[in-house]
Amino acid sequence: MIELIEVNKAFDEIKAVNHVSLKITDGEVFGLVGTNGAGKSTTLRTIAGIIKPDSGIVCVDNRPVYDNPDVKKDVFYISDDQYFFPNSTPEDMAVFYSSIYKDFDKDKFDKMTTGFGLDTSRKINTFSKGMKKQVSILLGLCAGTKYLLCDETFDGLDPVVRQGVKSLFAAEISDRGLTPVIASHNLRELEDICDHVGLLHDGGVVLSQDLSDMKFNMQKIQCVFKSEEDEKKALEGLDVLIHDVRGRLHTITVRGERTDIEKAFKRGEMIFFEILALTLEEIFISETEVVGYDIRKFILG
Amino acid sequence: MTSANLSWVDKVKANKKIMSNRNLWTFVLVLPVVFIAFIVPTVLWFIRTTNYGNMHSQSAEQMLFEKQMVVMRTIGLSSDLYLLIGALGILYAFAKFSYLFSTSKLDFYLSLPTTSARRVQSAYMVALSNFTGIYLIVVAIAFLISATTGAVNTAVVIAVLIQTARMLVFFYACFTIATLAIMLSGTKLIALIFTAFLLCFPAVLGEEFHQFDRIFYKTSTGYDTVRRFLCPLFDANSVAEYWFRYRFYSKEYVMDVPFILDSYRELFLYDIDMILAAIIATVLVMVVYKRRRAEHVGKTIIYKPVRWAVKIIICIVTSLAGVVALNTVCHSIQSQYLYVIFGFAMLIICLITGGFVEICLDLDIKSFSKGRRQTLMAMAILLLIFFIYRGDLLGYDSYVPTPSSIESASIINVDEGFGYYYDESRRFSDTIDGYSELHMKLSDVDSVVKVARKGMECARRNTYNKHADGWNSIVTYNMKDGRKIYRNIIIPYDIDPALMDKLTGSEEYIKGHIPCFDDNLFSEEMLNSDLSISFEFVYYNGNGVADYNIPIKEFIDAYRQDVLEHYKYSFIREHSAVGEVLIKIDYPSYAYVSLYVYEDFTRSIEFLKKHGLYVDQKSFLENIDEIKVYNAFVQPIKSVNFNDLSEQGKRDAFYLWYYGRNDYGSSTHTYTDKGQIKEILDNCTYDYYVEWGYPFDKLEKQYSVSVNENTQDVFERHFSFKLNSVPEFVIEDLASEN
Repeated sequence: MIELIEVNKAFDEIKAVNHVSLKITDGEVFGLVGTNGAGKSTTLRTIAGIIKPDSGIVCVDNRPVYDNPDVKKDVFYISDDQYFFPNSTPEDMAVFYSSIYKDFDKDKFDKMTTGFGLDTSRKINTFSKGMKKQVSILLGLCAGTKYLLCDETFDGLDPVVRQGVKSLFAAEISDRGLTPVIASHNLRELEDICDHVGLLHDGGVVLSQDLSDMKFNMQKIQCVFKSEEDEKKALEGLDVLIHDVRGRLHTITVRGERTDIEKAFKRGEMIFFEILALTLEEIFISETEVVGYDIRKFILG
Repeated sequence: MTSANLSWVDKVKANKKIMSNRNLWTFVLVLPVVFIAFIVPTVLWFIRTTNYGNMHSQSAEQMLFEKQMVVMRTIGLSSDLYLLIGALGILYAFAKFSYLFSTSKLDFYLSLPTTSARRVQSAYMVALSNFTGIYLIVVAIAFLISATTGAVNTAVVIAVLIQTARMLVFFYACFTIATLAIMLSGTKLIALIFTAFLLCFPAVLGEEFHQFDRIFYKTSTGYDTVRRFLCPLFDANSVAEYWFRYRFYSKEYVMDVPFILDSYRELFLYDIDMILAAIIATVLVMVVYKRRRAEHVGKTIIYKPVRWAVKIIICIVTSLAGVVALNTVCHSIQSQYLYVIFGFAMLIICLITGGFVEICLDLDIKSFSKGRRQTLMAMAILLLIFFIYRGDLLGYDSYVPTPSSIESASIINVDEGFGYYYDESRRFSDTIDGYSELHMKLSDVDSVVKVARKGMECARRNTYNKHADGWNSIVTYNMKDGRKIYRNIIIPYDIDPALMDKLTGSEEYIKGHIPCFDDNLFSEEMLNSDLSISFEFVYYNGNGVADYNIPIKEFIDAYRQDVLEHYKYSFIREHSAVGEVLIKIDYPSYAYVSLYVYEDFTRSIEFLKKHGLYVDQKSFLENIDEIKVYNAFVQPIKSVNFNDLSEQGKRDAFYLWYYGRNDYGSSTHTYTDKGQIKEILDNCTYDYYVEWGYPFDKLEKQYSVSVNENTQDVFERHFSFKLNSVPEFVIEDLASEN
């Protein structure tokens, strides 16, 4: 388990990480979302032991990570701009990492690169940005570490490769309990892969919740009430997060379990009633608007 | 299959590939460079030396020595490729630690499962083993080549071993200092500048303080050892300079163990300084790397206190350099007004430098006015330095060591005296060129100290004309702790003659002052050899007679007895020399000695007469048909005639005229009447006061008498009237300007 308790990190006058507390449980896919400068990379680099926090605790499996090689053996960090040795090939890098990480699986790497159509004998500096990303992800997956920290990893990947990578993640999670921590500025990237999402803004955690919990506890309803009296009856006592009205069509996001919501709406008469599936984006908009943020401005662009 | 399951062979293969990939470039780049720098010259110099020796039929002894010098020059103590080694040290440091300037590289390296300490240790090990390997290979090859030519003996082996160790220490020092600069910087450019700063500023600051001694202190000679500590670059330069001098001046053809060890002892302290600098830099690297953070990438100088210190030092170094430059332009500070200007200029330079440093550190032109507190601190330090020097708060100009701390001393007459030049003596003398510096060792330090006190007092009082107050000399103290202290003194004209006689009449002084006692130059071997030695006696009428067949040893023996019998302050001061003997030796080392002959030097004059080199004064004077008298002070000086001035007043007026500052009107009269000529010459004396001269208490310096022999058109000899002996007709004839 990765645990951050009241972590602070400032770069001169700028607070990059401000009282961040997170708990990343083993086996879950943790998404770290936020705008540019929200503190995602700093948080990831702190978890990877690259940055020493000014205050607070960063523990991986209850061990401090900074300057601790024993812990770092369990963590593989893929940066936004991954470094490869000059003139090296994927093969060279694999050989290098195999000398660093004792569980590095060279055979798996060879198979995966073949699967992705990457030439392991070609110099990496001749690769495209997306191909370099693929190499770094494959190296990270084959390193055999318990934790894989990915900073904006899916940027630059085409949809097919992205889907392939997601499949590999899923396989690694189920096979050996890999815990990926994925930072991205785009919610849509993480929607179908994350179990838990932490939202960072201005160095602080705005929200950190299980996606399933969020989806289970929030419903989106489209309906047409017969009268205003029916509307009042239906919504009475409900925790309405968003209420949008177009003509007579109401779109309402309400916090609560599906059965409770259905029961409540039956108190008023309706011409039309339907419960819709919530996207991650909608959940975040709803949750963050409540605490005073307009997430559309800084997540969805 | 995971890497844990790899076979031992596979692991070695994997690591070998990584290591070779990552370190190959250093071998590829560095090995050829070091090879070309050391091996190629070794081969070429051996070929050249052998050819040259054969062409000039060198003796086997000289040929061997020349070959040994080739080894010394390439891989021995005389090797001077320090710049290359230093540059490689810096190159390695940047190669090993440049990842500190790139976020992506830093993320890569810092995320790997290792500690920062291990990472630094590994970089050090790789760099040092890599360079050491290359250097030792090259030295071994050069040594083998040398061995095949027969140039290797025990002394050469020791020299090569010492130099190899020194080069490796120098490499390490430069590597570590560059590493320290990298650790303290966030960008490559700043790290490079900072490396240059750390390597050079002790030397620059030391030189500036040395120059300040010369600018502000009247007793500074410029010969004092310059204080430059913890500066490997300066140490290497000093060692190279020492051997450069040896290379060109040695003619001994001896390369034995005592010579190597003696030479090494002289340079030992430079090695200690180099090692100290390396140790301190290593400790600082160990302190800094622990505090270096990933977020420091991109900053200029990462720690504020370091940034402040760098700015203050740069401001001080630049401002002091500005004062030195101004002093060079103005030649010297000669008035209070100039001191004030220099002080202001120094502060303005500091202010501007402070602004430029801020611009460079922030890479923003708007930062010119930032960091005012540091600039003000630098200005305060500069003012403190200025006032310490101007007010001599450290007592430099009055420092006389306690006699008990002095091993021996010397007083060197720098303006006048016996001419001396000998190539060989320059070998280990890096200070004053001359005989006394090497040979005078006065044990009567009490007398030296008494004279020095008077001389320093006089020097402090002196304005700008040294000759107005006394005789310019340098006192040298050889301290018991090994230091050598030099002070410029002006021995006042009114110094106690008894004290001076005690000092100058001693055998130690005479033997250390008059070069006829140079046992190396006038050795039996030298005097009995077939060398071309010219002996010339220049009489005061200007006639010189050169002779190559004179038994010089006989003259030297006679002259030595004469000077031991007569030489002392009061004798020299009262007597005018009748001429000088010039001895020149052209080979193997050029040497030149002039020995003054006085009338009382009977043994020497006897020798000269015996060999027909001495011309009787009477026969010279009988040939004179015409005499010219010149009056340089026709007009009164501040309403007082020159002759009515005090001795000091005459001296001041004389030097103001002599150096062309004042013109008091002049007149000349030519006398052809034999009677007048006789009267003039009867009242004159030949003005050839070699030392302790400027006899204003004995001569009338208002007039000078020029004599042209009718047989000689070229030489014009000058006489002076004795005090109060100017004939009336001369005074009348020259009373008005013409």
